[in-house]
Amino acid sequence: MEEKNDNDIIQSVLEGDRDLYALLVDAYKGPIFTLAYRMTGSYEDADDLAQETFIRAFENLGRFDQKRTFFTWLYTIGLNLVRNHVKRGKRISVLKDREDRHSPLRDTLSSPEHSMVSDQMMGHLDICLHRLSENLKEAIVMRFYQELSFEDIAQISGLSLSAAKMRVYRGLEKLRELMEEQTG
Amino acid sequence: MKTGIKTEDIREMIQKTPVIQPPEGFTDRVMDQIGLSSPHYSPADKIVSFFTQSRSLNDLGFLAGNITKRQCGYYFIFVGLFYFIVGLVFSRSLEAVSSTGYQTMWLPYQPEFSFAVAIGFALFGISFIASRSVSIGLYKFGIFIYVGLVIINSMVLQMDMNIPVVAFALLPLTIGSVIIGWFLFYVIDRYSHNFIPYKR
Repeated sequence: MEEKNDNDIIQSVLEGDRDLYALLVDAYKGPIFTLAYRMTGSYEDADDLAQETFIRAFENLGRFDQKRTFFTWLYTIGLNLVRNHVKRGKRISVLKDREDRHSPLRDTLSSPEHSMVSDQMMGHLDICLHRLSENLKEAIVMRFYQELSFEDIAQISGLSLSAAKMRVYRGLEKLRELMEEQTG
Repeated sequence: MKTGIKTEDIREMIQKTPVIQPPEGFTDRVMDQIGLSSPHYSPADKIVSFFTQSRSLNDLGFLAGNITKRQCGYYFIFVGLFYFIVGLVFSRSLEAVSSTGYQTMWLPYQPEFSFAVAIGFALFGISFIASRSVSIGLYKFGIFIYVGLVIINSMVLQMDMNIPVVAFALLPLTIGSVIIGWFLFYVIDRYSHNFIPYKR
């Protein structure tokens, strides 16, 4: 198993080896992009926000406390950018991408795995997710879409561990209620 | 009308949602936008980060937070230095023992054994720091070998000397060596964990 530690890469980038930053982008583009997409519902906005996250992180790399985890620091930057974006009212309905024939998501959604769950139910799930308050939606995305630990969620959200757990469970319960309303 | 959806059903549905991938060329576009700029890292930033970094009592770059490659390498070198000193102590002690006329098969080789372990750890440490990418499995395997050799050495030594009281001296030494092995394994493991802490 050949690996290079995040902190080693960051140290090399700070010492001038900028190209190594691509390793960090490659490693974490998935979760950052998913966060942005799930929060905004727009593939294009997610692309812009994810890029902005990595650029901001690069610019502020010198301020990164290397005793923290790079991923949670990066994720916090991404989450703040997404929050600002949503506050400015730039959110686009998730259904836009689902119906867009040219969306890169189209191929993924027609995968065999996806066929196990009906399109209709998935549509309901997306709609209900976007009806949640921003705090609850964040918690659901972090915990269930990205499978982050409660410790990471607490650190990223600036909450205590118990408050983070409570928020996740409240979000899940609220999502269940909305799903019942939607499908009932 | 209630449909009876459970929270487990929702979790299952989320599990089955397709993983969203960023568009192709995402990394290249980020790197292009970064261009030739460098991270802001002014002297003021260095001072601020020094005073605002999270710290803990067992910190001082030791086991708290993320462990860097350089730190891992130094831990190996320190253990190597420890065995070098042990080797020197053995050399001196054995001179005194041999002057009494007491002879065994295995005891005279203890300094060499310690020096060999010292050299091994020093090489491990240097290679850990110097290599661009580290093979974690190889170092973990090396630690297992070390622990195994230490235990075998103690057993052989006990059988060779055949003095019951020697076991009381060997036991703490062996346990100490196993703890050192565990510590190095833990450090390596911690180092290897700081990669991708998410699944999707």
